[in-house]
Amino acid sequence: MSLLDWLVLFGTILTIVSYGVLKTRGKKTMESYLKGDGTLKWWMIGISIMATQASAITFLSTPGQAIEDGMRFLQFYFGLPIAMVIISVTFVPIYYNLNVLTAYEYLESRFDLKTRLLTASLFLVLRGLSAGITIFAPSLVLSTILGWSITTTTLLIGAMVIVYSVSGGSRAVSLTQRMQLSVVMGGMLLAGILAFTLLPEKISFSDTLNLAGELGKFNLVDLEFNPNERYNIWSGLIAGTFLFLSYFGTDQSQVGRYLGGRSIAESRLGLIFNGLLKIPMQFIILFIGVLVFVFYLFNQPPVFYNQVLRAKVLETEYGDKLKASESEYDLLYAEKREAVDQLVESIQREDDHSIMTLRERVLALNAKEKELREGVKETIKEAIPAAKTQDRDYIFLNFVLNNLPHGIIGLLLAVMFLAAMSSMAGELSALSSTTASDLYRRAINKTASPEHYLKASRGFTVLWAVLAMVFAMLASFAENLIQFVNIVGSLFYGTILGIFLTAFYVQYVKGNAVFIAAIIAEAVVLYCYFFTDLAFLLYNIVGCAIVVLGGILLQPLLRGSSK
Amino acid sequence: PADKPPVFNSWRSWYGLLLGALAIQIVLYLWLTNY
Repeated sequence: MSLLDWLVLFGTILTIVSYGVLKTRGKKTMESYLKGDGTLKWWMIGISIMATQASAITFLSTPGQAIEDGMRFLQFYFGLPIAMVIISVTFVPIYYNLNVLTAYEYLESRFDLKTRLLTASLFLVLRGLSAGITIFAPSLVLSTILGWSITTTTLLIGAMVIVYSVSGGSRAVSLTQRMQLSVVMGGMLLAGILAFTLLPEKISFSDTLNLAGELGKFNLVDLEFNPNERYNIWSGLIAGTFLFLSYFGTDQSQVGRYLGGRSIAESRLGLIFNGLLKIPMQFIILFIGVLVFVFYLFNQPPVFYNQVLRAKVLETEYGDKLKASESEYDLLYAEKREAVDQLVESIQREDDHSIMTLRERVLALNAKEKELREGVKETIKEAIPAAKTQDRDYIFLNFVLNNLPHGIIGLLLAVMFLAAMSSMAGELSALSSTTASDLYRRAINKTASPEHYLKASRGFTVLWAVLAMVFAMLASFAENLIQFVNIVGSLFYGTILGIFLTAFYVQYVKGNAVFIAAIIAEAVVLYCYFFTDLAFLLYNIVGCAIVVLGGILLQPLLRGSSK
Repeated sequence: PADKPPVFNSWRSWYGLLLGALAIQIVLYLWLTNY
């Protein structure tokens, strides 16, 4: 990091934050603070949806995923456009016609207050925890690389978001998201182009594609049906549709993005925009990873990508063992480089027979390299038992720091900070809307003044931000907590979706029946989690199906008692 | 009236466009995988 990098990093962040604050000054009410003033156009909604979904870990982790595992990760998004159509047809008009502030408000008019409070509370727990992860994951990587404490990076991200969220509310969130996503995508594209220009001169773009393809990186579609495996076309189309229906249709952090639109038409177009661009956007990020993979065929990569942790291990008694592994890798890489050069020559000569032979040779060396990397991770684990040896999240930034020009390094670090901020701002906005409107104004303090509710909404924004930051600072001490948060969403999402689908499509089921069905469904899902090895992707579908069917079966039994 | 879609006459055309784009992408990716 040079002075120029620091200037670019802080200049970008501060420019966007201050622009967001200055442009959205002025008087507000609770409604306009939480929902905006209903003037968002379709492209603003689309960008806001994408910026909320893409957090820093999307940009840190995805290129590394392509390097290690190829591009098959893309398949999980195949269900997203299908979910966009269902939400546009059914969810959007209902939310608009009732002029709701949150998705859960609709549940009271359709069912009853207890169903509204149940789903709103479930949302607050799930999203409150995951807002902690949104800020923790990039904080961990960025603090390691910048040599800061995790408290510093957490405070930087959190404080910046609080500044513009509290002053400008929902409008500031969507305005800054536009600028943030532009810088993020611009920075990522620039990194991809630079990765290609750093390849040896004799390598053309089509050579790059052929090389990556021969080495198995374009494993984009897997037709095998296997619910235990997330990355095949059926999991993407079926389980992916359910997941994205829950996320975009019933999670206030997304519903809040399109409720601020000017009309039903603008919201629908925003969702369609998201459906058209999301898969290509993920393709581009994965493809940047593939370009870095090809770069590392011609330039020796480190044997362990978290260089700070590597330096720590070198100071322990295991340092010599690590060095021995690194010398072994030097030899292995030299052999691989030779094979890669020959492979490129046969690709350029279009000599299919020698392509086959050399491809097998490079793949065999890649397998040996993978084994060596696993060995290094074990050495690191022995040297520092508490260390995290997952280094996938460090691959892309490690490439940036060691190979890209000054100024661009600062820009790419800004990309990671901005992505964390834009995602967290969307989540915070939803958490404060739901707390203020569904809990506080509806169930706790029903008769205060409009000024009081605006103040309370701002207070809830700060409260949730502080909770997320405290979580992020403590999370590094509790590995299990992080794993728990990453799965807890899929334990509750199915039930919440089931409540909403019953509300939309099964008119004769009322509040008591759906409430009992939801409790039963949640118990079954938790039972499956603790006592069976049901495939994870099926939880959403099981939970959702039990709520809908349970409601239909229970309703006749409860006819006398329901409202 | 306020919910008329731009460009096309009905929302169905927009949804068709979106799902058509998905199908084209899947076919392209499948071709690339098999290549």
